Amino acid sequence: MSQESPSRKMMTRKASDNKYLHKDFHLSMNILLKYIYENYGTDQMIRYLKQYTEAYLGSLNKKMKTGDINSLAEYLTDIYQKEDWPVDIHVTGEKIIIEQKTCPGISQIKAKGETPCPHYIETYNTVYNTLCQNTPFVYKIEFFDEETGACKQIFERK
Amino acid sequence: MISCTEFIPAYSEGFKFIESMGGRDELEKFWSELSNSYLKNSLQKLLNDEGLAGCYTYWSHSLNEEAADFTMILDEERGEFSIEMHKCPSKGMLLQMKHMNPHHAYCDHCPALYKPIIEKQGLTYDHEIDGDNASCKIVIKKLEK
Repeated sequence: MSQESPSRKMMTRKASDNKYLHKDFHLSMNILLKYIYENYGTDQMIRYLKQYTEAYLGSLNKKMKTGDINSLAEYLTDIYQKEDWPVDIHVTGEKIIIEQKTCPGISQIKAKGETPCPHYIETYNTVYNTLCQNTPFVYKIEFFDEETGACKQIFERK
Repeated sequence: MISCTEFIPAYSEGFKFIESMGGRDELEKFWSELSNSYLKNSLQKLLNDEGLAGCYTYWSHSLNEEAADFTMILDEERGEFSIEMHKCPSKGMLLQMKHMNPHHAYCDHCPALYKPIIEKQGLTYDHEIDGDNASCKIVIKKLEK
């Protein structure tokens, strides 16, 4: 018996039927950042980003403490691949250089007519500086265009 | 960068953070603001334009992008739309992450976001959540006259 009729529609999917890529999550993330920023200020927004990084990226931070730069490079490559986002990641034994022409978050937020949260750069700066805490690596942003998220980021051994 | 594929743990930690600042009331205030701002141009607009069928259009898009494991039925004759979420991709991801604990009431954000928008359109919203198994059921109905 068909379960479809002009007045009845059904859709069934398995997780494996689709690629996991919901870019509107960037909008939800931006709303969360704005909520914290507008209600509690920049310092608390930064505190939240530290909390997130310590919780979510704690295991990567542990690997980095041993001087493992490859795990960091793999992580960075993986998140850009999953985003389907063009980026140039150059890895040597001592350094990882990441260059992007636009940021996937800022691009999606603007494409939907919204404005990125003030200090959106902290989703890079705070997250990656926290990731480097107590490791032999330092993180720096050589430049960051607030309008597009074009930037050059460097992780390097101290 | 926080990738959109890392959003779920970022949100779970966000819920913990906001709750630590002002308790459950503060978290519900955030969910309410999120519902208004995030859904106004998507679900709310589709409900205005398509009625109950707007639910099917909205979740067809988001659940496929989120790679959910689900069955969704729109029955216009009965005035009913339902989602059987066999495996929620968000809660499923959080349960798989052994190195971090999900927010204790993570699943509560779904009804908090959707129910007010649905009810504003004169529809009813009922749900059953089994958070430990990352599954739930949502039933949205036209009010019986």
